[in-house]
Amino acid sequence: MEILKIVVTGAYSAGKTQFIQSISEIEVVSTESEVFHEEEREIKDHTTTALDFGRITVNDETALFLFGTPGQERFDFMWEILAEGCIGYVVMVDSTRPAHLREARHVIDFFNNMLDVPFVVVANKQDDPTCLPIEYIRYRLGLPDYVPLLPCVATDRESVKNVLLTLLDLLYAESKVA
Amino acid sequence: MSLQGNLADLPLIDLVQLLTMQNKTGILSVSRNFSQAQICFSSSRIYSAFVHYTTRNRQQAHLEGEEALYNLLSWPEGQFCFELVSALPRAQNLDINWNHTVLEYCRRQDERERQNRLLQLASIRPRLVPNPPVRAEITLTLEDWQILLQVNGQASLQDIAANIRQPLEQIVKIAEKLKKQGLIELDSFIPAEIPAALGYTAPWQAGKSSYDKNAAITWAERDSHGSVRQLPAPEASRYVVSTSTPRPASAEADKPKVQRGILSGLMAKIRGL
Repeated sequence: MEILKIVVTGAYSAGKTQFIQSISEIEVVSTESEVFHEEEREIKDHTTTALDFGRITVNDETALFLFGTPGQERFDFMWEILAEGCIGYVVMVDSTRPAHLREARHVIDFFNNMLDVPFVVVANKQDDPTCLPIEYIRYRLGLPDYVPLLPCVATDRESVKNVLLTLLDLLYAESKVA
Repeated sequence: MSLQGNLADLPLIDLVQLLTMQNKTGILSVSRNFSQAQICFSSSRIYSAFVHYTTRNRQQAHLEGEEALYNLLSWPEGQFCFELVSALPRAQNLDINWNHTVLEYCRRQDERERQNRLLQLASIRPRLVPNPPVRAEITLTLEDWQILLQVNGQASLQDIAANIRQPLEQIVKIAEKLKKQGLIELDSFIPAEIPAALGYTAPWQAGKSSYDKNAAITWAERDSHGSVRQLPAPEASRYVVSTSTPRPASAEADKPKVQRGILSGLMAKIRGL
């Protein structure tokens, strides 16, 4: 069976687990634990500590595995492990927290230095009235025009589908003719 | 109440957002080298702004209102101090929506970067790819052909624009498309004249057939006197995502390859979910 692997990464509380939950055909295998750091607890009370795992089966011979990374930098040893052999990756960004953009930038740099595969950046939580405009996020992240920055609502399956299809389009453009 | 810090830690965009949300009346003073700036806040509104700075030829200059804000937004660092006051010392010179100001600033920055990028690309001399990848079909327009016929490794994009009397921006756009189709090489990271000035030998000058993707990327720009200046990493990082660590030579070989048929199947499956 051919396994294709896409990594969903991003800084803390960007919506990675929700992203995978919205599209996975199986119950997401999640390694969540309670948050004890007070600053982090103000944002959410459970967080991914090792990985999230979701799956989309194409047929008997092909399946797409989605791996979500932990957001906190102290778990970054998992990023390399999860990134091995992936065909592309999605970087989630929380559009509602300007202070989060610096961490997001660090994640993009880390993965971009480690991997030479297509990726898209996702401005999540675009349904929130306090969300930052896409162009502002692009500017703050220092993203060149050729890197897709997609608005997204991770709770909405159509929105998640759009992100994955954009990434697959990039892969298709540089893939070999079978 | 007094709030102090540095714009390097708390950028002005976030700082102003914070202060307007607090609904305070006070003065934000910022200083950096020989420049001074003040923004006055009246409740949740920006009431007035000015910047005093020294130009390169040591002249004193002064900006007020929205132009002062645009100037201040470009400061990468500067000591700031916000203090509450009961009455504001200056006349109102602003009645703006901060979000609109930030967006307009971003637009101006984008425009400036677009112009800089065009200037950088103008000196690139595109070359035909000796062995283009075999593809089922490539569609070229008349404009594509016009440019392709001009590509000889000697003419720069600026020359080509002049030869066929088309705007440089249009030429760059088509050149990038031809590059994506695998027909020409642009070596866009290292404009033609810069490598020699930095003591760098371009791969094609060293007899290699194409640009070595694993080489560390050097960023440089010309100042107004035409001198080449190597950009420090943080400045360069604004232009490209990958900046520092050269990838191992094996990375390209290890890169997973997926067949188009498999990708098509997966895309169809996702569309149907």
